[in-house]
Amino acid sequence: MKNLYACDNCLFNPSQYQDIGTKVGYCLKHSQLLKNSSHTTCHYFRRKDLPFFISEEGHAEHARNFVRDIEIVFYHSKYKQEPKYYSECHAWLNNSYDPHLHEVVLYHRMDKKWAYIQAFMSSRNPIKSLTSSSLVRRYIQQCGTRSDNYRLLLSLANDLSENIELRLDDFRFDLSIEEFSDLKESYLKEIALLRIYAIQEYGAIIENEDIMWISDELNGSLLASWKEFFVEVKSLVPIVSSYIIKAAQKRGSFFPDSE
Amino acid sequence: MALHYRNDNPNGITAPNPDGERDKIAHITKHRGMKTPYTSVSEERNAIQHFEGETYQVEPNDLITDNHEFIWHTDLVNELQQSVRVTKRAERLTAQRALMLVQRAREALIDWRFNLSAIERKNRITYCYSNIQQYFKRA
Repeated sequence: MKNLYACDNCLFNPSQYQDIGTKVGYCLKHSQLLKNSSHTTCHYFRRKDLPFFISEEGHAEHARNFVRDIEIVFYHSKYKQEPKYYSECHAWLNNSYDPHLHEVVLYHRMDKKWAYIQAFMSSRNPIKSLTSSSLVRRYIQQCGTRSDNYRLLLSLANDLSENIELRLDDFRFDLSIEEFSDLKESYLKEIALLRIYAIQEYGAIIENEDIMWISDELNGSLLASWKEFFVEVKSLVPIVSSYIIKAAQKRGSFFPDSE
Repeated sequence: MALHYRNDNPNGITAPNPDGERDKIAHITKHRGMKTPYTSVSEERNAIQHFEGETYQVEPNDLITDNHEFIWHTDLVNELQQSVRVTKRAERLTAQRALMLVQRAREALIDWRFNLSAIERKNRITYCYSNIQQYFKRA
């Protein structure tokens, strides 16, 4: 069915997530535009739709299947995708400028990644939200246990209470109004889940089980409507925040200069 | 019975692995890899129109007549909802993921029931590949 190992579900492509996001993606691993992101993949693919610690077996199998494909390839044929690079000038001249795609490219070219991600947070825009949760996940994975990114996660946790507004234009494909209303609730939930997965991956990195399994606090409310689910998601904010703060205090890394 | 649809490799339907674990959630989410004994289909062609690959159609009745098990979308959703309610931690996360995917794609499952007793283990996937193609037509 849906190819869950395609670039439109990859953390290295922050501004797309399955059916929603920018029309064209951008791969931070290859510094290339992704014009066929539902059809392409590579050896380094990293799933967005589940926390990494849940899908390690699947990732290992995918990496073995695409062991020689360090470049971006089409999934079935394994033909290499011709590299396409981003040009702001070209985007303006061809009326294809997308501010969200541009932000991802700017992020890629910046040195101070941490500050840029922080600036991305607290948006009611769905594309910015999925981009920020992807960037946080990628950033904390790369840092590992070398640096404590609790402040990024606190911001992300705080964002869980932001009400997202999803529009027809936020979908990558043309949809009828009927299709849009069918998919809207599902993707509103997805945007919240992507933030929660980032928090859970942080929990896995710092080996804190309370944070790693914070999803259990939702008690299966995913089965309810978006409105009811969102109430439960908002109620997570103080719980997650207190777990993150306590864990950072225990490690002695919580605003050390202020004490 | 209504036709069901699947997008797959233009060269043919991907073979199931009859010796893989019968774990529906692992099949749907692929979190443990691709190799499972099931094949997914959709009850609504529009629901998978943006998925990659060639579109094929299958008649559930043909499968049921040949003693394969067809797990209808509604039954699958009920089963996954129950898993979300009663499980915890990783099991709940994967059940939730499976449920969201199944609902969006209007997914149903085929559980292949070939008699493989006379087929050597190393040849079983190839046997299944050859024998499932007859049920699918290009849509």
